[in-house]
Amino acid sequence: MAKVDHGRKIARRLLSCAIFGCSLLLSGCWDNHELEDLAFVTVIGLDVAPGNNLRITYQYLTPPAEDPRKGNTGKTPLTTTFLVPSFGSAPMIAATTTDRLITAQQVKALVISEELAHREDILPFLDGMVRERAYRRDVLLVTSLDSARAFMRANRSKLGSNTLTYIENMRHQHLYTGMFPEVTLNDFLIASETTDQLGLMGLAAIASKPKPPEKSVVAEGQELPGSIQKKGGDNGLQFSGAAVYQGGRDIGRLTGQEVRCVLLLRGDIGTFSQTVMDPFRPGMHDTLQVFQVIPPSIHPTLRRGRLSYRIDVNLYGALSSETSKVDYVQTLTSQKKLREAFETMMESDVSKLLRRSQTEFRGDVCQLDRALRWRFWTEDDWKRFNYTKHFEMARFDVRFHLHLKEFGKQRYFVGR
Amino acid sequence: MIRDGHISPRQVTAILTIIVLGKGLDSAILILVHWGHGAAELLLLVAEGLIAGAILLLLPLHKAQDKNLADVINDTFGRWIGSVICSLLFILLMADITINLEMDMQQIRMVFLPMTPTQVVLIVALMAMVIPAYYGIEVLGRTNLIMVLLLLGIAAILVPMTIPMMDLSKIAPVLGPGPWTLLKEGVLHVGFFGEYLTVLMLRPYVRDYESYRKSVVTAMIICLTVGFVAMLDMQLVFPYPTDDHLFFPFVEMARILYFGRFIQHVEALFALTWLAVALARLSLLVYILSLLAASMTASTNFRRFIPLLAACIYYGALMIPSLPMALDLRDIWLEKRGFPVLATIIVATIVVGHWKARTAQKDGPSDAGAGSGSGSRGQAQPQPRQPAAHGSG
Repeated sequence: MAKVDHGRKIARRLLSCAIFGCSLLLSGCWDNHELEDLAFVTVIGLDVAPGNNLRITYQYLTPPAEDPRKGNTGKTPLTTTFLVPSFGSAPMIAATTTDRLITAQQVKALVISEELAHREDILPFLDGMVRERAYRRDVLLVTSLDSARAFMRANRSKLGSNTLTYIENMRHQHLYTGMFPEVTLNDFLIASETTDQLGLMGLAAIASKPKPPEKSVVAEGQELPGSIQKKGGDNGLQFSGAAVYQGGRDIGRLTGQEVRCVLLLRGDIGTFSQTVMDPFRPGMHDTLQVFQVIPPSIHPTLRRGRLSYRIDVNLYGALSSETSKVDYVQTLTSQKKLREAFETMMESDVSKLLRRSQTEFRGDVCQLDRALRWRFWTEDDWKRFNYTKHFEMARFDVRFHLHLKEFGKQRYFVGR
Repeated sequence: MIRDGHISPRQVTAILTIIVLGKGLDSAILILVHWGHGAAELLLLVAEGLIAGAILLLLPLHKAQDKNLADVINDTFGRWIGSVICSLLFILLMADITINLEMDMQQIRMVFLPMTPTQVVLIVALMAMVIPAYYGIEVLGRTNLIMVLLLLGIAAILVPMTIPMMDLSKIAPVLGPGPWTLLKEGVLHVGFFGEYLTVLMLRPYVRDYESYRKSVVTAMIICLTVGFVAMLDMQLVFPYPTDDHLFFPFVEMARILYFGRFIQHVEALFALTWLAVALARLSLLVYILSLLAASMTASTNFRRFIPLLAACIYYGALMIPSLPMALDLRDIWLEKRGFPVLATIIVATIVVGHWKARTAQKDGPSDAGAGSGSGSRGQAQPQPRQPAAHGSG
């Protein structure tokens, strides 16, 4: 009896060891790679190449070369460009130049040159990304007006951000400027796969050389990246506006101000500052800090086969600066005038954008379909409705409501 | 009666919850998305509701503590027909485990071990399944109690984390493919929740019928609720048809969680939990399969069947060439074409079993032995606790 018990004890211990061994093996402890043996690709660029090929650029994370303490001023980021027959074969070709194991687990952005997006359907390239296990669906997508390889090489922050953190920080800038949409691979694919929406992708470019002649700036966000007037600064790149995609093809551009309008209608904007022409003293500019706290109220109606939208955008505002020296703080009638000037300007901008979307892009860039889609009972009903056709003929009644609540720390303008 | 230990009602709830919910975390869930379109969670409610109703009707036939599902079927239909029915259930369960193993294995390879040969992953996973099954119901019960807490805990963490990614405006047409299609597909996909039947094999290991029934109902409510929330969560993050295009939607959902530069790859948390739950679930299914084999052969020792069954599962899983094929096999063969078999067995057992129980009740309490047994009076006979039989037969 004692022998049997002893045998059972041994058997149980062996089984326990086997279970422990299984857990180690299944958690991948047998094919690990040391950190120093890996090469992390952080940004990928896609450019046009002759034939059915693709010119692909990898930017690697190089912590010693991009040490923020050294200022990161002189050295270009480590990038490599090569010609590949397909997106999937790129890592293999890249591996011929490095002894390290190339991994895409830290890829944060995909830069696609506008030329490529005009010429070819980019969805097959994106398919190559989502099929591969290493890529995540939160990779930021950017369309570059310049070639992707030139764009990536120009990414040098003088303030000390390395190439990776620069891109990561830029993706959140829409929360403060509203001029650049944060579109990830996942967002883009969802928009492409629904077929009722047009996809957007952030637009970026290298600041153009030589500098464009300085001209009067009416309002921010009216220019495309690359032609925004500036001298010096942190980085030679400019992020503003968006490229519009139908399926996988680039069909047009939106300016930074138009992107703001899109994000306002989607309820995706945090805050932004908006310059308004002064209602009392034309030629003078006032600046409002605008906050979107609640998403817009969008009411679609369908009468006699015609779609119409009533869109109410509620915003909160704070007076940031004024050059007109009008007393907006104490005088309610002046405030009303300023509010109306802002609302009229935004309503006009949004209406122009929607008209452009209907006539030029022939599709919905603002995802207004979401306000309508859930009202249909079945998927078939929705497909039969043919949203895009109705959108092209739709009428819009857009109303902005600005609640001017704050005026900063100053009661009267300086020098009153 | 097959000799093994006893488990508490709470452990029954845990076992059933792991068996049903665990499946939702692999690619099998795509079958509900594919046929339910934007109303995948409604399809889940229809299919799961139907099978839950059937189980609730089957439960009163299991009032006697000494009889599991195979015994009840044998008592209800007689030895010959009972053996045929049990063989069919055995084949269905074997195919189900094999297909599930293939799906889980593909997910293991995708998340953890892309370079490891299939056979190695398969053998290691099989060992992790077989060893706990060999230890028996008490070990499985205790393990699954921990697993269900882990699963629900991780779900309670991950679901709120996905809230920023959710967009209520992504809600698709509420009825998806339409009410009639939903109903039809719901009926056809009752087999998706066929694992509920396995709980009827566990009856001999719970002493009290009332607490057994309550624990089954509790598990059903948990599974329905969590399944509905999980499907809705997925729809709001990956609206249809994007979710239909993914192989591993929950892994993808965990992979897009982002908390800034220093906290990334949160999917590891999900992946490790899923791995533990998936293996615990498969282990339970192997245990049930060995119980079924022992019941069919009137053996009191289920352990002797485990190595053979493991070998069959191993070769069965190797025969499935790819994940899409595993999905098709499950969808077309197990659910749609297996539905008439499963439905006939369930309906026939419910009708004949209840009819026999009623007849026995009319004939007098002394004859009430078949089918519902002594439980026809609503009282389970106290059974002496059997010692766990290690190596005995």
